[in-house]
Amino acid sequence: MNSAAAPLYEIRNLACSYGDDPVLFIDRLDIPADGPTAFIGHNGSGKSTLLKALAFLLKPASGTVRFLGGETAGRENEFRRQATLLLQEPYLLRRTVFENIAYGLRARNDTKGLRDRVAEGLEMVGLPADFSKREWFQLSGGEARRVALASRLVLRTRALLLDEPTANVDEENAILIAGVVKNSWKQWGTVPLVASHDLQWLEGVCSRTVSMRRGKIESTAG
Amino acid sequence: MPSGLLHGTMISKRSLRAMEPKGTPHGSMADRAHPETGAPPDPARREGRFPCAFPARSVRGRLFFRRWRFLDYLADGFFKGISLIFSMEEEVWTAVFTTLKLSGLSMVVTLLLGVPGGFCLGYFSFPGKKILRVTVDTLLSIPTVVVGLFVYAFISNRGPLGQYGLLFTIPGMAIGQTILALPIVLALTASAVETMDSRLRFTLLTLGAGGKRLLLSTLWESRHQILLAAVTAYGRVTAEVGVSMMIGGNIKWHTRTITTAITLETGKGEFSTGVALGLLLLALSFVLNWSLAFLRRRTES
Ligand SMILES: Nc1ncnc2c1ncn2[C@@H]1O[C@H](COP(=O)(O)OP(=O)(O)OP(=O)(O)O)[C@@H](O)[C@H]1O
Ligand SMILES: [Mg+2]
Repeated sequence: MNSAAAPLYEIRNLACSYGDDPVLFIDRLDIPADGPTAFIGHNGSGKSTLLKALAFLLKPASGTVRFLGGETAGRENEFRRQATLLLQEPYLLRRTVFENIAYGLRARNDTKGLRDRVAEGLEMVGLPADFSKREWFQLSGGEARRVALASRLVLRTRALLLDEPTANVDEENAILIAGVVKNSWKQWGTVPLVASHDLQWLEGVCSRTVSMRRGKIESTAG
Repeated sequence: MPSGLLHGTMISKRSLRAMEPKGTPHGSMADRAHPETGAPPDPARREGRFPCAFPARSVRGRLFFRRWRFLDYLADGFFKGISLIFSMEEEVWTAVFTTLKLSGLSMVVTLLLGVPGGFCLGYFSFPGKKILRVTVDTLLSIPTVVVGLFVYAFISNRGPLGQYGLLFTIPGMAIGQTILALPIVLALTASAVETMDSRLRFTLLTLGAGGKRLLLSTLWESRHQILLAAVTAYGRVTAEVGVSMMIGGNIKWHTRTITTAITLETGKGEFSTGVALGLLLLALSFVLNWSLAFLRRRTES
């Protein structure tokens, strides 16, 4: 927020661990705010862990993460509202689809035109408007993932962290989601950071790639 | 009811033996003259054939009648009971209303204390949490008469709460029932919150919830389990006799509940009132169990 030129994230000596197992070590990584970034790597290479740290959901064991030039340590609550994460296995709240999508907006006390924005969210992920009345347990796996994605998209945060957004999603809808992700960058300046195993899909969405291996950055390209 | 029938048979066999004249422990009944009618021994019986030719003259025949009379008695009580329910017999319905009033009061207090308490017990970690959990789990199976005893000691005239005159009143009974129900709500709410999906916290946080909203949303996510806890506790409260009897004193029109009324009526041999109340209690627990089953399905999906 300090300056438009500051990178979205500046990561320095970041280490994350589950209990006593250290799983992520990143000496230095800057993620620019000028376009989508892809994260690739084998299973267990630390993509999800990194995204959780970038969404300020995991407390780093050591190191710092700066967000748009701002120091985030101790101010996670504030920064969490500017970076939202779609979990690898999304969890829907035990409410209707409408309430799921509206939740983040309500949490921000930003409920003007709520109905239209929820409808717009559903439309973006290719679900019909009458889905908003469905209960959380009345959805297929792919539909649930798309509802979870819609609930992040309507927030229009600065950073949109997506952990395998196309797993369980059919090809047609994967193409639709690719369009939405690119659009969110073009229309609202939301920077998508996407972890996925679908390299072909990623190629169409992201111009920059960070590849990870065993919790470390192996290379960055683009 | 198969076990009940079996039980009935066993009692009959015992009473059969009791009817044998003393002093001839090894003699078979068929070898002797009938103890009361003095009828001659029945040759058919000695050969092991079924002795129903003159039922009233043999012991087993009389047993047959007795059992028949018992069934008659039961059926009579049953029909009278049903007619008592539908004729809105005041004594029956007063007991029902007292039960509903009492359990309602107990449950309001239990939920007001138990849901926030159980939530804190499951959500936060603090020193002594484990010991508290174990204590609550132990109290789950506390006998009703023990609660009755302690509450009695506290609220009777000489007890520390004696001046409030709670003994033999509905609020006094509600204290005891709250002590019975509270551990259930505490333990089930705490474990519901503890076993919440770890993704829930991440999801709520990343959608921007914090502070009070985070807590309330977590609580709302476990609402089905909490309702389950409440229904379970309600079942315990409506079915207990010990506290209602000891603290309430089973005072007619006042503190007589369904369960204490059944105890009393059965003791008096007033079968039909007991049956009427028993049926109403069964209906209540049927509704409870039905809603429990519904809630279980909801929590699993
Ligand atoms: N909750 C957890 N507790 C302990 N260890 C974990 C936990 N989650 C992940 N790990 C470990 O952390 C490492 C990185 O996991 P992570 O989920 O970040 O990998 P990933 O790159 O997202 O893999 P995938 O492609 O399978 O999603 C792995 O070695 C994993 O075993
Ligand atoms: Mg992952």
